Amino acid sequence: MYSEGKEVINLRKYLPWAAGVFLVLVFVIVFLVMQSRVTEAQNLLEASYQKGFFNLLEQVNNLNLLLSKSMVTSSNQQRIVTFLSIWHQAESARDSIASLPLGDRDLTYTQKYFAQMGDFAYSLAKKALNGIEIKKEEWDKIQKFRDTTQDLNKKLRELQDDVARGRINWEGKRFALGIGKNLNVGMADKFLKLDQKLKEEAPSITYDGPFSDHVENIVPKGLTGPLINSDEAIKIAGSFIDNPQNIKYDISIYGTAKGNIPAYSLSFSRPEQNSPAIIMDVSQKGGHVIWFLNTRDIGASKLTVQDAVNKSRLFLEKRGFKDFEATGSLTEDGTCVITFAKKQKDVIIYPDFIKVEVALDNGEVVGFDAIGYYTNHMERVIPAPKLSKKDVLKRINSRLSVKRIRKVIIPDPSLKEKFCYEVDAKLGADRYFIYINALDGTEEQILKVVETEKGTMTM
Amino acid sequence: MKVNKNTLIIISLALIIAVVSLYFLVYKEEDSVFSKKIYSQKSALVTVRSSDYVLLARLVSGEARGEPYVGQVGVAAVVINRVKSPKFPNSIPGVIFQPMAFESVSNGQIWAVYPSRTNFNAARDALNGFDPTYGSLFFWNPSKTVSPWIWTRKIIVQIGRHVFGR
Repeated sequence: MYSEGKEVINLRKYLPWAAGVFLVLVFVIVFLVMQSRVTEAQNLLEASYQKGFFNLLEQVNNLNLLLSKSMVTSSNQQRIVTFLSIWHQAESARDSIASLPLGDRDLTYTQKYFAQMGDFAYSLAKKALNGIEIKKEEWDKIQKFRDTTQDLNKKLRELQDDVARGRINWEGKRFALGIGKNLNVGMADKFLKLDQKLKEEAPSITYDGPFSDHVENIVPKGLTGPLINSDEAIKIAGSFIDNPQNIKYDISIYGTAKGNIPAYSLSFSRPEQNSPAIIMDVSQKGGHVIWFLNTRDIGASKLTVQDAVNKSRLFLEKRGFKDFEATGSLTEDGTCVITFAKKQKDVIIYPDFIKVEVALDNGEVVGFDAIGYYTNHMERVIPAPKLSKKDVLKRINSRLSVKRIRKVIIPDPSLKEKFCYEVDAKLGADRYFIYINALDGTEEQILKVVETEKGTMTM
Repeated sequence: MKVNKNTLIIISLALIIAVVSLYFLVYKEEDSVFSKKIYSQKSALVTVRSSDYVLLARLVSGEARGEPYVGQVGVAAVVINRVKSPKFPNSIPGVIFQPMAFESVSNGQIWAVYPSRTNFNAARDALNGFDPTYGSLFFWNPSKTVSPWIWTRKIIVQIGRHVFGR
C-alpha cells in the first residue's frame, strides 16, 4: 500500500515534465511544417522569377537579331513581318521585366525603352503596309535601338553568369531560411544600374503611336486668360456649382495641384459637417473650373436619362459652354454621367469633351470633368472634305445598313486629330461606328457600340 | 514536488492553445471558404463591368481605406495612368500584381475585406476617365517611412494622407 502510494506520487511528479516535453514537440512540429511550407512557397516564387529573367534574356537576344535583320532586308513583306515580330518580342520583354521582384525601384526606363521600341516598330510596319517609304531618320532610330539593345544584351549575359552560380538574391535580403546559396550583391541593384543607363542612352522619339514622347509631355491648349489669385478662385468656385437647395457652403483652399494644369484645390463644407461635401480644382491660369465632385449620398432615382441630359445641357449653357453635343451616357448607382463634345459648325470635336454627372434623385449636377476639354480645345481650321457623303457610302461594306453619317474629328492613338465621317451602321443586330477619313477615304477606326441597360458604350 | 491542480490546468490550457494554433497555422486556408461565399453574393452587383473593375476596387480598399473619396479615386487613377504609360505593364492586373508594386498586395490587405460601395464608386469614376491626380504614376504616404528614392519624383498634388506624383 505504502509503496504503491509512492509510485503514484512519482508519476505525478513527472507529469508536468512530460507535458512540457510534449508541448515543445508540438511547437517543433508546427515550426517544421511552417518552414517546409515557406520553403516550398519560396521555391515557387524563385521559379517564376527565374522564368522571367531567362525569358528576358531570350527576348532581348531575339530583338537584337530582328532589329539587325530589319535594316538588311530588301523585301517589303519581310520587313513588315520583322517589324511586327519586334513589336511582339518587345511586348513580351515588358511582361518579363514586370515579373521581376525589384521592389519600388521599378525599371521604368527599361519598360519605356521596350514599349517605345515595339510601338515604333508597329508604326513602321503600318507605314510599310500602306506603301509609305521609311525615312532616313527612322532608320537612324532603328540603328540606335539596335546598338542600345546589343549593349543591353551583353550586360544581361554578364548577369546570367552570376545567376548560373546559384539562387538569385533579388533584393539583397532573404525572406526565409532557405536552402541553396545566396549571392552577395542584390540583383535588383544591378538591374537598376542598367535602367539608369537606358534612361541616358535610349533614343527620344516622336512618332505615330500611344507611347511616343509627345503624348507623355502634353501641354494643355484650352487654358485662356490671366493668372488668378486664391480669392478669385473661391469666388469662381462658389458661383459654378449646381446648388438647387441653396446650401451655404464654407469654401476654402486646401492645396494646389502642380500637374500639367496648375490649379487651386478647393473644398466646400457644410457648417455642421466635418468632411467636405464638394471638392473642386480651379486652374490658376484663367480661373477655369477643371473638375468638381459632390460626394453626397444619392437617393432613389426619380428622373430618366433624358431628364438628366436636359439638366446637364442647361447646366453647361448657363456656364458658357455653348454648342455641345451629347455623345454618350452611363447610368450607375443613381447617377448618370453624360459626355458632351464640342461642335464647331457641323463638325463634332471628340477630343474637346466634358463629362457631367447628374444625380437622378433630384437632378443636381454632382460631377463635372473638363480636363479633356481644357487639354485639347482650340479653334480648329477644318478643311473642306474631299469626299462627299455619297462617296463614303460607296466605300463602306455593302452588307451594312447605314443609319446616319456626320462629320467628326477624332484623335488617333498618338493624339493626332483626324477629320472623318462617322458612319453609324448596323450589321444584323450589332451597331458599329465606322470612321472614314474625309480627306483621303482611309478607314481610320471601327467602334462596336454596346447597348446595356446602363447606357451606350463604345469599344 | 507536489502536483497542484493549477499546474495541471495551466498545462492542459497550453496544450489546447497549441492544438488550436496548429490548426490555424497549418489549415488557415480553410476559412477562405467563408470569404468565397461573401464574394459570390456580392459579385452579382458588378456583372456588367469587366473583372478589372472588382480588382481595382480591391486595390482601392487595400491602399486607401479611410482616405477621402477623391483620394480613393486618385489611387485608382494612378493604376489607370500606369496602364497607359509605357513605363509600366499594359493591363490593370499587370500593374496591380507587379511584384512589390503595392504594399496591400504584398501584405495581403487587398484580400482582407471585400471593397465597400465607396471603393467601387471610386474605381468606377477612375475607369470613366476621372483623374484628380493629373497623370500621376506614384503615390505614397509622406508620414510613413518610405525609400528616399521616392523624393526624386515630381509631386503633383496631396489628397488626404497621400502624395501623388510622377
